[in-house]
Amino acid sequence: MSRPRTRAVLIVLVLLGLPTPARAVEISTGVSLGGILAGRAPRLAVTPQGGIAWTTSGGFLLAVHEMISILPPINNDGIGVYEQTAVVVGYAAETRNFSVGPSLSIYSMPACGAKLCGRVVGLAPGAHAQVNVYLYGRLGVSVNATVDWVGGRSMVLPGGVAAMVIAGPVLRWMPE
Amino acid sequence: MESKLRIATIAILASAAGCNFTQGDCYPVGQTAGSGDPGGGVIVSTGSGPSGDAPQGQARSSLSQAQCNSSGNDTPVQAAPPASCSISDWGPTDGTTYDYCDTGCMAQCGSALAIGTFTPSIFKFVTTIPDDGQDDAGGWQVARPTLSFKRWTRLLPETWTCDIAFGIPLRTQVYGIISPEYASSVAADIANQATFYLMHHPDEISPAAFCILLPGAMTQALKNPVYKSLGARVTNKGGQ
Repeated sequence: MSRPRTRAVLIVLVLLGLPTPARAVEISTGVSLGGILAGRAPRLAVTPQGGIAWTTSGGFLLAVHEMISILPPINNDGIGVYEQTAVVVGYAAETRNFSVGPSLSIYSMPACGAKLCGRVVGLAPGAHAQVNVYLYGRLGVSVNATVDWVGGRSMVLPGGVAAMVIAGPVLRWMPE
Repeated sequence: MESKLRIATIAILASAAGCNFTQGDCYPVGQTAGSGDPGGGVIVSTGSGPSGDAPQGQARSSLSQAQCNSSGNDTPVQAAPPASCSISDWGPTDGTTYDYCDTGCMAQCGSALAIGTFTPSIFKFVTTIPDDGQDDAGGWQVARPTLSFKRWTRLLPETWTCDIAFGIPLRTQVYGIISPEYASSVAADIANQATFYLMHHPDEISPAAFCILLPGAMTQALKNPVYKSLGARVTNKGGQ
């Protein structure tokens, strides 16, 4: 078997094999509060979030995580929406898990850059990290951090990064 | 096979690169969307030249969607912007800081601009060599200002300062007596010209290099026929 084919088979096996063993699927959801910095000043973000994770008995975790941040209006420009999808890998223990991975965000939000303000719409690749700690059974605390590249044609946000840190309660289920 | 995978990966990564655009109008920081009050708009003045020019012209409260988005082929500005594109109320203009604007001014004027420029008041001349009244020229006066700079061409602004010494005779053959007031206005004009030149350099100059290059750029500006006969000199602060 040639090298590329071997590598492809291995990747497929890893991807397909992850959900199956031992600890099955975990679904989590919650609402977090935090701040996003996209432009000249940080802003409040209210973020409903959810995720589905597959873990192995060894603690390896693969998850898809979805966050939709609602940004309050500024300058009569309406509310903003910053949606982020991340595919992450990490480590999961009984009462906590940590994951990190690439993400892709779609946003439509009022923003102020160096000199201009306006509504900016765009697509932003980035990175996402999450820590969930379960303190009371299914209830826990989730802390998320993301960094996205927000450049493009907009003269309001012509280039740079958007950073977001949010934290809040999280609930999890583990379907049999 | 491997090269195709690599190409595909690069293509995916390239397509995933950030892209955005401004939807609808945009407006200068400090205003609100849909502000119809012309008095609160951007004053587009008729002169970006010597500081102290009174802003004139029409007022605008917002920029169109086309102005709020780059065409994608903007190139570094080499020459001075059109005289009608000095934006006087986009930033602090107390005369102590040269405030260089990139993105907002590109939208407004199609070129980058200095929003705040140096005013003569920061050049306080003191006599270091009295005029003995002999010869065609005599005496020496020096101003040692700390010039502040603000450059906002990326996500976050950069600020730095440069110390210079600007020396000029008390009396010249061509201009006669050089008053401290006149010397200050010359120094401010020269500092603004040199800073504009350096800020518009195609290779963005680091703050440290900027301070090294500034006296030379000011000396170059002094070679203008208007100022050539003044015999002024610019050095770093300890130079005179």
